[in-house]
Amino acid sequence: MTATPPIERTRICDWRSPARARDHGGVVAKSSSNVAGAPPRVLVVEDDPSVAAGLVRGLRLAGFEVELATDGTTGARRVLEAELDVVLLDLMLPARSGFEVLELLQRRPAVPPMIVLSARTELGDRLRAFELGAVDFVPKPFWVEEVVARIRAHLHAPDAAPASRTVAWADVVVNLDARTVTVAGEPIALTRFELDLLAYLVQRPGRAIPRTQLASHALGPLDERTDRTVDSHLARIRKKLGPAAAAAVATVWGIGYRFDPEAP
Amino acid sequence: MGRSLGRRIVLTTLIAGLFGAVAALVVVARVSGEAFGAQIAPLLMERFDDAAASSCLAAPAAWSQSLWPAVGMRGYAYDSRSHRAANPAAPPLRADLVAQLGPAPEAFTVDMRGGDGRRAMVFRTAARPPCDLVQLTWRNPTAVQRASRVVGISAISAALFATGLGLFVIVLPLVRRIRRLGAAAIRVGEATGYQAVAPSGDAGGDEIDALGRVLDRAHLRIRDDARLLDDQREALERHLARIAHDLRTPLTSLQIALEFAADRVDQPAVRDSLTGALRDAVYLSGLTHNLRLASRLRSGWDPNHDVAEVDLVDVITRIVGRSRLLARRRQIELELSIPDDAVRVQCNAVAVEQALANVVDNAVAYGDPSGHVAVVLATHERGFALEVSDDGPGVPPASLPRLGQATFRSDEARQRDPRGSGLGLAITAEVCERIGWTLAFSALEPRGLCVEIRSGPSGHLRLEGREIGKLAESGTLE
Repeated sequence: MTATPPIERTRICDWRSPARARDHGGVVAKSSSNVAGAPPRVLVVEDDPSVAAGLVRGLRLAGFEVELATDGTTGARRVLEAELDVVLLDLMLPARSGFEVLELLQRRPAVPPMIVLSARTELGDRLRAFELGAVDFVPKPFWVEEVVARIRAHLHAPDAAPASRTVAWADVVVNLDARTVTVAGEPIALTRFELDLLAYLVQRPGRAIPRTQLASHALGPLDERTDRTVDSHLARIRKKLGPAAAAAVATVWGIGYRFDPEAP
Repeated sequence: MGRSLGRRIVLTTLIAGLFGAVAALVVVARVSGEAFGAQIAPLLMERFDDAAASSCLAAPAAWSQSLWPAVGMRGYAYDSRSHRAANPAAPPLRADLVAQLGPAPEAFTVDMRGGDGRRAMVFRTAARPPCDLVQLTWRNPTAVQRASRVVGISAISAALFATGLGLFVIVLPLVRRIRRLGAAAIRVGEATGYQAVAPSGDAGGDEIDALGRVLDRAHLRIRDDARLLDDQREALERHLARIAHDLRTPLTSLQIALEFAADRVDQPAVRDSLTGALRDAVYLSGLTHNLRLASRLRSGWDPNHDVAEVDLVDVITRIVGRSRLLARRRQIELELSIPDDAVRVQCNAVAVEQALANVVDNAVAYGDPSGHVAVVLATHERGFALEVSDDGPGVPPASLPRLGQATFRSDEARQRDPRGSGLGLAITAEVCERIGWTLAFSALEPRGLCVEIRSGPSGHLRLEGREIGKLAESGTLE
């Protein structure tokens, strides 16, 4: 697996256990990724050989260091012994069920984020998993790509520090406080509407923003010319940014626009 | 049958009828007695012939005439001018009868009731005064009168008593029992609350008891059948849940293997084949969830139960995240737009996630390869709106109203792809309806379908097709 889809939001699930969130905020889990350059270590606790093999293979290809445990007892022991970044835990396991593993680890300090992967998809099972400290619940059947995205979302939790008020890509720098835009170090002139539109977009990188939303936030009350007005303003912005930087402002079919600073 | 309700009703009716008949006879006898008096009056008047008149005129002070010794009937002559009799033995003339007497020469009045115990008749004669008025008096047959009075009052009382007795002994208990039957009939088949209406251990009983026993038996049979159906439904649900559960693990393995293979194949034919297999895996995955949910919905499960606060932003992000792999394989651009803030709703997370996933999965699975799917979640003043638009083959306008109906798929869709039964959209429609959301479908121009789900009452829906059409015309699509 060479590519992963962009993650629209880092906040994956509001069912995240408050207790677990506190653990992560207060006590640092034994994490291999604390070592600079080390690949994140993932423990897969899964008893089905086919699923386990496919998951381990897919995670390794995605760049993770993966360890496999095929029963709950071994899985719980490895969580306590090994330095792990994430645990993928099946619920129906031999020796000790996933719920029992979660219960056992619930009050232990420095436990890595536990993501439950299960064929038990009832609401009660999900809620119980979250109550016992799971940070996420991925119902079977799942794609490895989805699991990778969720692991990365939990590994890169949102930084509590305030976001930078300067956005830079290609040769463009947008200073949101000073409300200035420079291209290759030279300031360019944008109208108030254009600056408002650009500021709204660059503060939401990777997200598709509907034209109506852009218009209502940047242009004020909507009218029948909203689409045309937004389109014409964006066309002028692209022209002023130049072709290299303008590629980051993409048109999204059926929605509006997306700012993607990593776009080629 | 020991006691017959019909026999009891007939008996009571006969008793009441008998007493009523007696009372009627007494009344008729009294009325007919007056008629009888009117009929014998002319006969009595004929007895005062010329000889009697002459005798009276000859010795009025001594004249009287005996007519019917058995009842003491005797006549005396009176002067019509003074209303006095020449015979000192004559009783006073009944003024009330004289007052009613007409002026005709042979007029008469008669009192058959004899209010004072004696009956009387007064009539005019052809003789001159003091013999031109004759009053006949006779004894009332007291024994007969008393007997008839006693019989009449007794018969009426007995009739009233029999009627009251019938009312309290038969009718009111009947009404109470019929009401019990009605109350029991309402709860026939219910697991709790039904109370048996037939008397226990009584071999006899009337028709209502028999009806009660029939009702009790019907209740037992229906309740047992309902229990059996419940047990079967629960068994089917458990069975479906087990099947769905058992399918999920091999489906996961299948998906992972297909995903792995599809990422590493270069030959277009093999890639297309794997893409088709991936699509089938997604279909099967959705089917396992849909079958379980459909079974629960059919069995009366309410998706408004087991509700929790759910952020639709997370739900739709998860759904789109899962659909991306198939979308990418099918070279469909799947885009998601979400609001800055969470969209929190109270709902059953599992049912809602599956309902929304069906819409997105359909757009990705049945859209044109290399097409587009746009998922837009937005908030408005009354709640939220979720739009899933695609530029796929769409649905003919005539079929739009039927989208979401159970097992409906348009003929065009079946021709394009025979897989699918419309179950997914039907579940989406049912979940939306049950939790009070609105589901609307609209055709897009030049092609495509827009599915819109809104919270709360249906408001004015934007014609997204026109807006997207304008985008296409404006050439801003890239």
